[in-house]
Amino acid sequence: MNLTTSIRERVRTWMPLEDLLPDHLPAFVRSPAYFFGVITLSSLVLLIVSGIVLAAFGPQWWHDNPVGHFVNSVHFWCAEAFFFSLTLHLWTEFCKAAWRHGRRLTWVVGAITFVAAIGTAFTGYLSQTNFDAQWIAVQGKDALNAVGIGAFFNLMNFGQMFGFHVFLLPLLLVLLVGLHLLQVRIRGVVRPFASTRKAERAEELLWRGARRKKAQAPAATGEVEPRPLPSDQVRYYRGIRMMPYDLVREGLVALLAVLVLVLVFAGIFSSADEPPLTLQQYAQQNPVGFVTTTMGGLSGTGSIAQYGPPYNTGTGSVQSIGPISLQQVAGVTIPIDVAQVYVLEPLTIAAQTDTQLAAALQTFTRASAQQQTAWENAYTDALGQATVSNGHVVVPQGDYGPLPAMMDQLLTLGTSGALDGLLLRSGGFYQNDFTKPLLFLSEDALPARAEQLNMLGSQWGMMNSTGNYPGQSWLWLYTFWYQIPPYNTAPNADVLVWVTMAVLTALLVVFPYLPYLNRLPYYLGVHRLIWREYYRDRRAAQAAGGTGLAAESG
Amino acid sequence: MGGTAQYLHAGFILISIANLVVIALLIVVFVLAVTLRRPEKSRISTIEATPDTAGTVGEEAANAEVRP
Repeated sequence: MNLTTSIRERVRTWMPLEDLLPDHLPAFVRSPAYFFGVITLSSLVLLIVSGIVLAAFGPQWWHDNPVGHFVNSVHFWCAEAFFFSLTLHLWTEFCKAAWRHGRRLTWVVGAITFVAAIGTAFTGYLSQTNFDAQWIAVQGKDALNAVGIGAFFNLMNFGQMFGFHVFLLPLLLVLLVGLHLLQVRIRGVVRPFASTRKAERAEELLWRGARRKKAQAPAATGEVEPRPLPSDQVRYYRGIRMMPYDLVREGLVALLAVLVLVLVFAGIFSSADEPPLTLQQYAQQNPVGFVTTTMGGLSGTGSIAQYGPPYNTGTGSVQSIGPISLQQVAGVTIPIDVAQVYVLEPLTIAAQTDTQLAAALQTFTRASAQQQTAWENAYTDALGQATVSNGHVVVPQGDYGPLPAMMDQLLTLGTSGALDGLLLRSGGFYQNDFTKPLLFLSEDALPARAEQLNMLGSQWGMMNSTGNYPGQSWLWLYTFWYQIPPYNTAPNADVLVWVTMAVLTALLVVFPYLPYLNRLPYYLGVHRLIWREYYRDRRAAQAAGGTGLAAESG
Repeated sequence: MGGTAQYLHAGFILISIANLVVIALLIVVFVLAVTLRRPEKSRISTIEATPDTAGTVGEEAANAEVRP
């Protein structure tokens, strides 16, 4: 067999150019309910173009340069337009039961595209390098860690998220959209429901791939026509009036309309860009909180020190469902020794030019574990009565060993901004992983700021944004579960929400295959509005004894 | 829009006005999309015309075709 010939003939048969780029479409597509696919596509094109410009100039440009911020705003409003039209496309295609007559895989690919788009947008929010990005990273990490994904997909690693957002996920999205478009053009848009359930059933059997062989069986006897190819739009639309249609023009008009809309929105409303929180700000604005967080790290009582995988072997934030903990299965892949990273290593560096600090560090490290714990407990208790004087944290007199001197130096490192740099150190020169500073800030500083902005998980935070801007409203269902029992009180809420959403997402993807449920759109009746002229004309034809039902005989 | 965010709080529902506007717009546009038509083309027939049922008018109707 000549593979080249085989592929060529299949392409020629399944994808005739007349159907891929038709200049006539069925007259029943006159409803605006058919516009949302092309608007989504237009938004995606503009998203990619604005994204390329942003990637070309880099994060500093979209924060500091007015033109850069404008392009960033265009990108943001394109994303809103994309999800707005994508949601409407999903709703309208659902109401039409657009998976009928052999189009189930078209729906499946479309639904997967929706999920991929959410992932792409999520990594985009993480790549903003502003407060939203910080908070979404530390809030989302718990959900991903709980199911083991966080061990490999680190939301606080800017380099990884940026790579996913500007290349891997857009590539996947474009491939899926391309496949979806191809599927739609090969088979054409689905016809309105047949006049009877029996007729609709016959159509379904005829055009569904697996059953076409059965439909073909009587063909040999000459009783019915040979089975149609899925791409046989001539036969599929038989009896249906076709009208002239310029798909390319429609696409260009939609592109222009979306472009004008996002330019206007970007020009008038701009986009959210709350500056990121730094350790320096935290140390300057809340010295006692800063030192308390640091002590939690040193004594091993802080939430990060007790977190568990992927950072350490603790169990404080380990979640499971029944006996299964994917978080523990994935293991410690981003090891962080909290006491070393946040206290001892920075102080050791500072001690190279500070003999008093070097002596204090030596006293602490040479003390017994029991003595260290006693100092830590006493000092941590004393911090509850601490005051701030001339930028120093002052606690009541007590036996704290060298800890006051150590913490004072660490606070100095924090207020000077040196700690921001020290926590970004890794083995090499280039740094793009913000896991360490973000974990430190996630103990206290970020949640405190997020609560002021209504962005906590208990405040539907994942779908909110800073300022008066729409956030990721498409995450409403995911966020919703965190607000109601048993999710909002369960210790393994993240796993429960993941399982719930995984099941619901799977149901969405395979909805056309669900017996009985897949008839829901027919009973909802919205299709009667979308195709009302078609149904009206069909009734008129039936009343007149015309041939308008020819198409339903297959 | 960069000022302090406005929120609507009702029971366990806490939603920003901006998100509420987006969701309300989604519903409004959806309703409009399934009910509205392009006015000038609303009278074209959608099924095969027969001598008894032909209902097409205007230029579009003249250009409309019926698949054999």
